[in-house]
Amino acid sequence: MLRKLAIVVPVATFASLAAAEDADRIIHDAEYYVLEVIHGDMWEVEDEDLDTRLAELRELHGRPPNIIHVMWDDTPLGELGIPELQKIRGFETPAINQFAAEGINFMRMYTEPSCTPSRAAAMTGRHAVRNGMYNVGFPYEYGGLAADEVTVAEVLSEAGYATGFFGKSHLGDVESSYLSNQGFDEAIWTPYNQVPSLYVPQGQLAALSAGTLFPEMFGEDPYDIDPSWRPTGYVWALEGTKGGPVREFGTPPFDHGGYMALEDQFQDAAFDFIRRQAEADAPFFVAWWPQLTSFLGFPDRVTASGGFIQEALVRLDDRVAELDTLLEELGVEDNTLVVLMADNGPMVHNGPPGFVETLYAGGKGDYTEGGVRVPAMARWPGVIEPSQVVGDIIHITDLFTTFARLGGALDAIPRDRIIDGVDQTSLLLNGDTYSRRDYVTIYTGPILAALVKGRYKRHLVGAQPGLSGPEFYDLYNDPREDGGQMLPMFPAKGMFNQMKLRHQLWATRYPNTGQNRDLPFLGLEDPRPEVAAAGQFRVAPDRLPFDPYQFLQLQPEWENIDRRWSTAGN
Amino acid sequence: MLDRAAVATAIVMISAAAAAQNVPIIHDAEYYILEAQHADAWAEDDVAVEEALDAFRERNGGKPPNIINILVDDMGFGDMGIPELNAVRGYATPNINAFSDEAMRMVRMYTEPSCTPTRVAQMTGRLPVRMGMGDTAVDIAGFGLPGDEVTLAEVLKEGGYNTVHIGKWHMGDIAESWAMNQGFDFTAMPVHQQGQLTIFHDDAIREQVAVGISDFDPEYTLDDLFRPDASAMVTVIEGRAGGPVREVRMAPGERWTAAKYDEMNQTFQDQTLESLRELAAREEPFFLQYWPLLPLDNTRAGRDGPESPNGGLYADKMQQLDAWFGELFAEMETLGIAENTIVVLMGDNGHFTKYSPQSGFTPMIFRGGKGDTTEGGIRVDAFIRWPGMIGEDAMLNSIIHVSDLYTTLARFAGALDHVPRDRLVDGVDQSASILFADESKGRRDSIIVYSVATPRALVKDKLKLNLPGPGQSAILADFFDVFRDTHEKYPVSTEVGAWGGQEFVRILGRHKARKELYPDTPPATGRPYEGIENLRPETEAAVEAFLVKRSAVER
Repeated sequence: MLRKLAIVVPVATFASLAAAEDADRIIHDAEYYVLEVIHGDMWEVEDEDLDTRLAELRELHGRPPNIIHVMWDDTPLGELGIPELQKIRGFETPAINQFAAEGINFMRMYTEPSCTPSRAAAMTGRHAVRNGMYNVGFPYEYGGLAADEVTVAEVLSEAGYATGFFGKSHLGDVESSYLSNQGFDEAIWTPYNQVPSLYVPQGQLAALSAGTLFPEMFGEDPYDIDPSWRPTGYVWALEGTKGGPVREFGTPPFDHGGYMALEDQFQDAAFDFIRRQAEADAPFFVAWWPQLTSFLGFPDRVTASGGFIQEALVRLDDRVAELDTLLEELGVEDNTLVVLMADNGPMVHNGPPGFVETLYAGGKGDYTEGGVRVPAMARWPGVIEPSQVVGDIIHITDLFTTFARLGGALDAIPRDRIIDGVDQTSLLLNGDTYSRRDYVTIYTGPILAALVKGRYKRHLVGAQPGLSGPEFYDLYNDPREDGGQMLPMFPAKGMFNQMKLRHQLWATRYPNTGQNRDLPFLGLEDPRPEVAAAGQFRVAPDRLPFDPYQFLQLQPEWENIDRRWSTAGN
Repeated sequence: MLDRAAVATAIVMISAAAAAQNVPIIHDAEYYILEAQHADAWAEDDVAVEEALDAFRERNGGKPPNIINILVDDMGFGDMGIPELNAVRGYATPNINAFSDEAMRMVRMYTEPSCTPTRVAQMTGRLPVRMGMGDTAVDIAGFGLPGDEVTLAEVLKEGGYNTVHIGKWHMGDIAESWAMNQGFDFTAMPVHQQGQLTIFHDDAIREQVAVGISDFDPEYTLDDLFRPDASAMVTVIEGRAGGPVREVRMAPGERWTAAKYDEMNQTFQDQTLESLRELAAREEPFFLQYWPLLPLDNTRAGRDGPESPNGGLYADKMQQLDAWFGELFAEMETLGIAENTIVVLMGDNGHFTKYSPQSGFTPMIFRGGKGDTTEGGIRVDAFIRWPGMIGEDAMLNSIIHVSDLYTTLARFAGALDHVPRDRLVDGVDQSASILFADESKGRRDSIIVYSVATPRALVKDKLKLNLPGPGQSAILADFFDVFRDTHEKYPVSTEVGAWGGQEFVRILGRHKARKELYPDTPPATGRPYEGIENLRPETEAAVEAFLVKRSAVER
């Protein structure tokens, strides 16, 4: 499809788009350049002013700002920072609400529709489709973030930042995805999501199907003649330092108490890192991405709701309050930008009980607003005006570019690939209406599922081929995408067609790549025997009539960057 | 239980003529189950409430507070008072938001699922089914709120208040049902509602807001009496208690249009401000009721807008209404009555989803809208402001039914004695929970949700049962946890039904059993528009047409 379009449409299209290209400039998605043509002069004026203000701050504090990015799972927009809606839900998060009141409460933060893609997007400033990170990873995933992806940690490291990661990564189980290999000076991370919290004996009594992980817990099945496929060599967490060894962190799996302990351990490590860096000379960047919850829930219920995610959020609230106390104690509050946000909508499909919609329809995995609009807040005392409700569109990838700008590290952003994240420094510092984005491309997996332009949205999935159906939505009038319209919004059809075409053509110039596919948990120092076994094929490849390595390359349409097996003699 | 109620009835009968003091108000069964558990605490709370009210009256020259009661049409939850959700919708209600910062949000305010029943419940403190007013009439219908219902205006009038009603009323087209005959000293109101006034008038028909009415060649039409003519129906009437009632601003032969609708709405706003000034200048406390017809406005005719990024027909008019409320609040400051006046501001039911999305509003946090018994139909934005008495920028999560305002406002006005004791009053006194911002002092934890005359759902604290239809097995009924699942999408039917199904059925059973003691009665019927002095000829003809049709069943 893409290739065909590329042939049909004359190369001149590229030439006109390429007018904006410049070796020194970051390459954005095509739609950005349309806005730039319209607003570029104004942005230039704004940027001069912003540079002056950032320079003054740098002068004042003797360093660029510290940045703390707190991100967690599966929370729909409206669930946090709006006390009225919490009353309706039967829970309260006073610290997070206070945080929102002290800065910007974003009403249109868009993410990718699930954990792995959102997290990859935050890390790389790129839509997950660009680097093959759109699949949600589970034990074993045999994949993860490729080595040549450039993370925000790598970018900020170039500008002298100390970088730390603590919590849920979910960026893969292959060596290239280890966060200590992706720019973090210090990192403790989970390669997967919270589903492994069920991969314990209690899980089998609660949610897992009988015998899927622990056949020994049930009566012997004489027909089960290949028990060795079970992924019992997974780890809950890994730790490592830049250039140093990577080890398993915490207790090995199967004791649920060990899983529950991780959240405190992540927090302790993050706070310890912040404490140390506050006293050092360099600015710091911390991604503290809490696990939020085990899929077995909490033993005690402390909210009127008692819902799964609500119980987790009130506990998160305590942690945010502790972060506030820490920053105050250290006296770095005024030079620290803190961003709080969720990674995607609630797990309404096949999730544990209590994951439900709030304002928007749909949840994790969906291209409707409920899947991709999340609570997000930014606070930077003295720099970001307090009590702001911002209605502009911002995308999770924008954080990458914006953090780089604030850290004086724009030069470290690679110029050989599309960076979807646009610089939203003006939105942070100037507030409502200063966004540099009015569009979102929403992918589910590798499929371009919907387009947002300002208030309008078009569903591409389910549209009638060759015709148009009621696939257009006005998100102000119909926030829940209940009633798609055709005639009233036909004028927007051509615009959406062009937007989609520009986006796809631009991707043929800067093609998508795949994630890295490999055996899991390689390169660990002193792995447990089960973990070491996970890194090997469970039967000897040379005794099979086919090549098991090929199974690991199940994304043949895109180039894999650093396949270990390409040099393994196969 | 039954005995106790019977005794209560007997007492009421003996003492009905005498002052009602010390005779308890008769409530529905569920109230007594809570009372049995909390009577001692409630008695203490009542003392504290009286102390607080006494102290207020002492500060206020011995007078109880003024009350302004604003009811906004078809406004669901979250559309007023939450700037974040304003941003989500692409419109702004800055004056209401500022007001909400000074007021208490009654977060779990339940209304009835449409205009007439909600208005009846607020005015009479009773479920509309009790006097057959659960239905919402559109055209000439010849029925309405019976004269022997005791409205909040009548209760407050007895308590020494001056009373004024401006705006929508929608409780009938017969004289005894109108506000000037139901306790208001002065009334300016349309007899009907927005169906006539903005949905099927000439401009609206041209814009296809209404179809099948006069947008075709009536070549095959035999029944000329079948279709209503908005312009022939009575529009706005004005009158004083006991005085003449006249239709205003409509000459014989004149057509009702979008421009007339605009003029009417502006006049109601002006009259509200005028009334406010007049009432404030007088010695007695006042009860001013302003029930605007906006934000409903279904035509583009005569509009310059859109006025908001949203641009929806109702969203724009909600901004207009916000500006008007801003004028009202400012005028209260100017008159120096902001401090001694209670302001209640709330929606009457969920969004009018039939006009979504072009209205600019669709349900967000709850499912469903006007007419639905899901939370989206019956939960609304609701605020009460009383400086120094009710917490500023507070939230109360007690279950409150719109009928509770009747009893509670009567209490605040020192007029509780005038609430009738000869009938069942559904509204319970929520003054302690509101004054002390304390959910544990609430006196209600359940709602019986009717659609017209049929119970459709039961709410009991966080749980909700959507009742099975006639002939349907109770096992098929859906339970929901409304904290965890505001959209009522994920039933916890067996999880709750297993232990609670029977008890929920008993709630309904007790409610029905109590109706044997206090039976439902029908609405009042009569000749439409009787008593209006200046009926236009076309109106007389429309009434005759109605009577021909009504009498057809007797042939």
